[in-house]
Amino acid sequence: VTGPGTLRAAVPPGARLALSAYPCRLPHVVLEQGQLFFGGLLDPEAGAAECRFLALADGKTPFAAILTAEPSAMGAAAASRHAVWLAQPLDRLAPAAAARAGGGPRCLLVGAHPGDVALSMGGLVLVRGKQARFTELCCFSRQIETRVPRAFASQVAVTAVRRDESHLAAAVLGIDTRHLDLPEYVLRQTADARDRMLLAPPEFEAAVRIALHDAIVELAPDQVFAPAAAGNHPDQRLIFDAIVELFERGDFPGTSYHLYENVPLAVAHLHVDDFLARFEGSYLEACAWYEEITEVLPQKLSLLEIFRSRLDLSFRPLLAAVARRDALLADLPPGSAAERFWTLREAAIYR
Amino acid sequence: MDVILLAPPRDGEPTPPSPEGPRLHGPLGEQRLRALIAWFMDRAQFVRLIAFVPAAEADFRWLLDFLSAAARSYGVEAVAILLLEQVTEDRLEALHTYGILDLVVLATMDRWESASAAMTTLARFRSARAAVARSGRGLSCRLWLAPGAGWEHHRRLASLSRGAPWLAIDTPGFDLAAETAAVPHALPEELRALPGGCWLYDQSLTIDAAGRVRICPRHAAGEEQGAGDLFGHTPEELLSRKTTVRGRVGQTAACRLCQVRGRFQWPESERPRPLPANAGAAAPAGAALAIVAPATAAPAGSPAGDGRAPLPFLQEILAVEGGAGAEALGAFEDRLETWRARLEEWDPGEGQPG
Repeated sequence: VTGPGTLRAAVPPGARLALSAYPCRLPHVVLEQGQLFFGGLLDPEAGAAECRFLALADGKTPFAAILTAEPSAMGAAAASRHAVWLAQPLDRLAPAAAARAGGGPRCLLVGAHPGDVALSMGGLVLVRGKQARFTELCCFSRQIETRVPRAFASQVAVTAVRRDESHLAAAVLGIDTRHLDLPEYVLRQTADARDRMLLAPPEFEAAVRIALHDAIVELAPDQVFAPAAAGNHPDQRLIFDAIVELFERGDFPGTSYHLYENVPLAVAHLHVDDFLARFEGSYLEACAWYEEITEVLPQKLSLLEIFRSRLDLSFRPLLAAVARRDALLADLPPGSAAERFWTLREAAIYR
Repeated sequence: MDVILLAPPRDGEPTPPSPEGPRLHGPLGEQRLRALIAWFMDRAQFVRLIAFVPAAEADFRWLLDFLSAAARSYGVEAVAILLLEQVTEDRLEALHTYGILDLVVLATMDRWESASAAMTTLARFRSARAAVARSGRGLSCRLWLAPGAGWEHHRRLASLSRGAPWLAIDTPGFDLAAETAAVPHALPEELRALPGGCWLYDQSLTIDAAGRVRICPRHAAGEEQGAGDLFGHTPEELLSRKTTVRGRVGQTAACRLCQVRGRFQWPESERPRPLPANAGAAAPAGAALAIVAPATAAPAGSPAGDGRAPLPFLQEILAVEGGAGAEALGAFEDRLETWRARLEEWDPGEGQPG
């Protein structure tokens, strides 16, 4: 790095340190009295320069302007792990999504938890973003699980940071997002929740089915994407079962139902095998198809940086490995990346 | 039982047409509320008064007098709910002086600056009073913070938590203004047929400024009369009407969604502990509601059905409705006879009677 002129030629727009990029501090970042906190935990490695850089990194100010205001920010910006770099300012991303509201098929992307849709099928959204209208529906957005429990001490704090991460990722993807605010499985299992929860499990399952039914009625999507529930996480399985039931009932004949390979659980081959085994001998068929995401893979991987309260950056190689595995299955050239989906339909023998 | 007292509508606030007549925030209202509380106390029902603080000064004074007197006379708990703009030094001082120490402040993330200012006021007041009232109890402050748009929730929450560690922050315990369709869209029959109703609805009685007993918008759809009138109906009638309305529209899925979304937890009321597996198993259909012990849940699979215990007053009311009451009483007496016969034949040396 010899100076801004060198950087301008070396990096693409939106990449880290690109002068035209818009760095945005992540939702977990709290700056207090010149110190940087990860949630409630002090980051001892963060220095004053990084704090000054992050204070200016609001996702709306280009890096060039930040450098002008804070010339010492270059080193901190290069080293900081608490910002995501955007190709467009945040306040321009949301209107771009709204502008697309008029055309293309409407797609409902159902996710169990914040981040499920972005990390599992963010590539498809980035590739097809200009051809369709995407709405994310995050079902179990009332959260308690985090990889850093000491940083987010209460359920309210975890829910807040996960919601923020979800909103930020949705803005980056240019999609609309909604939250149902249902409590996630772990929260439902806490002693406090068991004492006070109103609904018995069967009723809760019915409530999820009703919520999905209502969402489809309201949005009238042409395509519905739901988790394949590889790994059988209880929340994802609830959605999977509800979607299969909706398909079986045929309440919405104009709607196609697709299942996406849900990460992180779909990283394990055995989990995917178990998912496929559900359809053996069934009158339902899960017809696999692939979306090539080679061009947008770096952008998809950068989404991982947003969900830091949930996943560590060490998950990045795994996410890339899943994309390469799917490209291999899709017979794409080496070095390609893809995402795998299945479309629900009746098995050929029953058609 | 939680008695929720709504404030008179503010200027420009949409509200159902109010009949001419006595107001809740007046002498007759106080008299009727006292009678209602006494009625619950006679039936061993613990009562909490949860009052939205009215905007008008006269109504606020009435509320202070009433809550304070009710707490002294009946030992009820009083909780005051304040909107952001109502968190002022004067109001806090008045509440503190009258011994109303449980405060809930309603806010949304979208009005962050106002919420922050209100919390500063609260902190200043709290520190100046050493947080101890004449009752010896400290001031208990809760912030019911609803999410808003954008991605600044966590940072704002963290800022609040650091600035006011004494503040309990949670999502709103209930939202009385929530309006949804009673029957959402064209739901499949099997989804609609499941039992509805909610714990909040069962556990509370919401009374507006005109003395009308409000029911949840989900229950109230198409129900112009509501659940009755504090000035025109006895407590028995009010609760009976509420139960009737629930029976009619409780089959809607909207209630069920509401339970898991907005009313996942009723802030303080814990779910009753279930009875032992064999308790009440022999209850005849229709009689279960009359014989389940108060504050205990019906066992899974019992005729009570939904795993929630009916409240004592509901038991009484349900037991006398139509022919079910006679059947329940008859079945109960039959079982008493059976037990009496067994007890007469029982030899204590053989263990428990069969």
